Amino acid sequence: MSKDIRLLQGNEACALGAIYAGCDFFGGYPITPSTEVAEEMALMLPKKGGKFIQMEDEIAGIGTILGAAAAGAKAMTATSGPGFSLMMELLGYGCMAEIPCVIVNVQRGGPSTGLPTKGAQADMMQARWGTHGDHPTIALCPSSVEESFKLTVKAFNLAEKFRMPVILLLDEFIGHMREKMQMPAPGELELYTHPQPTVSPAEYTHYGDGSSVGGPYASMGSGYRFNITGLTHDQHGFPTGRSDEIQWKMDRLKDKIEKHRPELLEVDQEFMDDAEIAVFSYGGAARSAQQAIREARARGIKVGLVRPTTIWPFPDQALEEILRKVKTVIVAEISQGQLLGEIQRLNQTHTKVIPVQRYDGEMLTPNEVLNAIVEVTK
Amino acid sequence: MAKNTDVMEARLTIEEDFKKGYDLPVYVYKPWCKSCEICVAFCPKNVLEMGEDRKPIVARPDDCILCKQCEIRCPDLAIFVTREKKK
Amino acid sequence: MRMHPSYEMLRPGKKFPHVWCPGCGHGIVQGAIIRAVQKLGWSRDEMVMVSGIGCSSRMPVYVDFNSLHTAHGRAIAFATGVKLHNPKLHVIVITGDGDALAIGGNHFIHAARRNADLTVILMNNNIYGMTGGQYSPTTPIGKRASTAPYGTAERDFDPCALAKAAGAAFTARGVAYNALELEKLIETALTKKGFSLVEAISPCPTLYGRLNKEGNAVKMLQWQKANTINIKAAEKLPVDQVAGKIITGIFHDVETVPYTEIYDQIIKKAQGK
Repeated sequence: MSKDIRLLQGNEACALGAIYAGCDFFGGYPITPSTEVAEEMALMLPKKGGKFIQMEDEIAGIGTILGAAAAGAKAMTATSGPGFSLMMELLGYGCMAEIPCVIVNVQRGGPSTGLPTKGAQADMMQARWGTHGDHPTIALCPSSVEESFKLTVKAFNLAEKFRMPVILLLDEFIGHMREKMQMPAPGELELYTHPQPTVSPAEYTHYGDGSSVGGPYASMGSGYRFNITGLTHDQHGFPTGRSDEIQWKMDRLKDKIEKHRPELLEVDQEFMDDAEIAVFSYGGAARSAQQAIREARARGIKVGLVRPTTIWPFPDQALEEILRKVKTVIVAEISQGQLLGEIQRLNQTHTKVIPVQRYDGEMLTPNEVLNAIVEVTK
Repeated sequence: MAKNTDVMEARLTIEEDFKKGYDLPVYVYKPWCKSCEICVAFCPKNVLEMGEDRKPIVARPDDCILCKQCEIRCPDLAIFVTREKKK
Repeated sequence: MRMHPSYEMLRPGKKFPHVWCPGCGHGIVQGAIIRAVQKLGWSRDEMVMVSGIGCSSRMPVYVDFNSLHTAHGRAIAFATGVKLHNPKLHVIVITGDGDALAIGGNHFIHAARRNADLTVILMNNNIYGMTGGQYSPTTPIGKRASTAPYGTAERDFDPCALAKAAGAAFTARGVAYNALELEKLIETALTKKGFSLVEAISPCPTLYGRLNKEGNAVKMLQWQKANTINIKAAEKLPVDQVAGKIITGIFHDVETVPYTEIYDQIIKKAQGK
């Protein structure tokens, strides 16, 4: 079989990944630099019998996919900056009501209208803490066009399995970058779709399954009638004010992440075997870090790359081990230190941590990272 | 305030009362009644009045014309007509 | 013996009475919705009740349908997704005056514009009940609310006129007092293709009634009885006799092709059929 190799944008690859994953519903509102995702979905979904709808704002965009997902769709929305801010309340709704969906945020510079056409990595903390209340988050960060495709597929799988919104935290650099990728053949990537309940409708409770991860749950219209609410609820989905039931629900939400960290976390490491300096980076910035490390290695500097593709939950254990192992850590990111803050939180061994940041709308360059690496060796 | 009940418990209680020989044209399921008096006020034949417990009682059952004005207007589904009108 | 006919449509396991205050009109509207669905003989499995936040929006949990209690103002956005994904479902949106017309106003007009195939039951009690009686987009000018202690300075919306202007296929208004007319309007709205709105005027004796000295639930329903005119009768009356009255009935009713059906044609086009 001939290989299907294409030249694609990160945003296009994301849309193609969604289709590959079985996405059959997209709702959203146009916003730069995410719009190509919507445009691709508008083109492709009807061909597959799926549905695309352009809503009146981003709140409606996420609202409509949550409705479609509750009715059984594999649903996605895509947005950027201000649109992501508008989606925060319903992101929390999706967590509380346990509705699977994928939210793509192609990060641009902010705050406010900020830099519509320029990239940033400054929504990392918003992805984690943007909505009110304690809640779990899953966020994935691609560093290439191919990874944009693959992590979109993974985002759908995790959403289905963990029964919650999953955020694909792209950035404008990867979203608008073009590079070639080999399209995975049908069946090549694993796809997960949640099982349907087998008990009788009378026995079914929508939140009754003790293990909330990988368990069956029904869609509206499938013959299982149940209530979904954003109010804190019991196993039937009935609103509750009872502290034991509130505790049960909140623990259920927390535990589905905390007890399943190993299968969620993914940290890519390059040249780390003998590394004395580690560059921590992710998303678009990691591409420059990668190039800088190759050049530093050519000069004989023992430096490696540590690149989480799952940014939430944060890979505490893996990164802490590296902090213990290496002499110096360089944190390369396109923000004023959102990744840095997490590293400092983990840095109990007081390893030297050096930030390399840019937040002027431009891509962090390989030279900037390389200079920091060389500086360490002096 | 009476104990809250689900629809299964309500049905069982009402069916039990029917079995025991309840024979009035209107039935009031008291646990769901909030004493708003709408049924009493809008009964065209003045069949109902408020009891000492602030729940409606079927005071003049013979006057009932089975019009269901109480049933359709009760916000709490707590009152209904127990017979169909003869056609 | 005859059992209460609505009981078969109530949610198993859910404790009653519901959360609404004594004499709240919302319960009367709920009864009318249940009877309308029963009359149509539709399967509960095909019914989806979607609501936002507020007093009215607490309804879905009590009815044995598929139910989706969403966020404030967003019911119509969720409902649009449910219906578009699975057009076989009958989707009813339960909303209030604040939910549909203030925070959710944008979704309301756009769903009407795109002719989403939804039946919106807007329970209008002219106030924010859940939060304690603040003025809403349908509180008449000069009326009192907890945030309008001297009377409101704002004009109110006519939801039916708004929906029609935005492109709705069907608009109607009923009052809780006339529960049978309301039931009929809801039944008609449910069978309409496209965006249909039934505004149900529902008294709030606890807050609106008390703040505006309109009396208890019985007094408020009696006022509705005395001050409601059906549109057919109203059309024959001189203007001064209609002023200040609630006009009920069907205002707007046109045949349309709903959004979901047009989208099906788009799928055929994309697939080259």
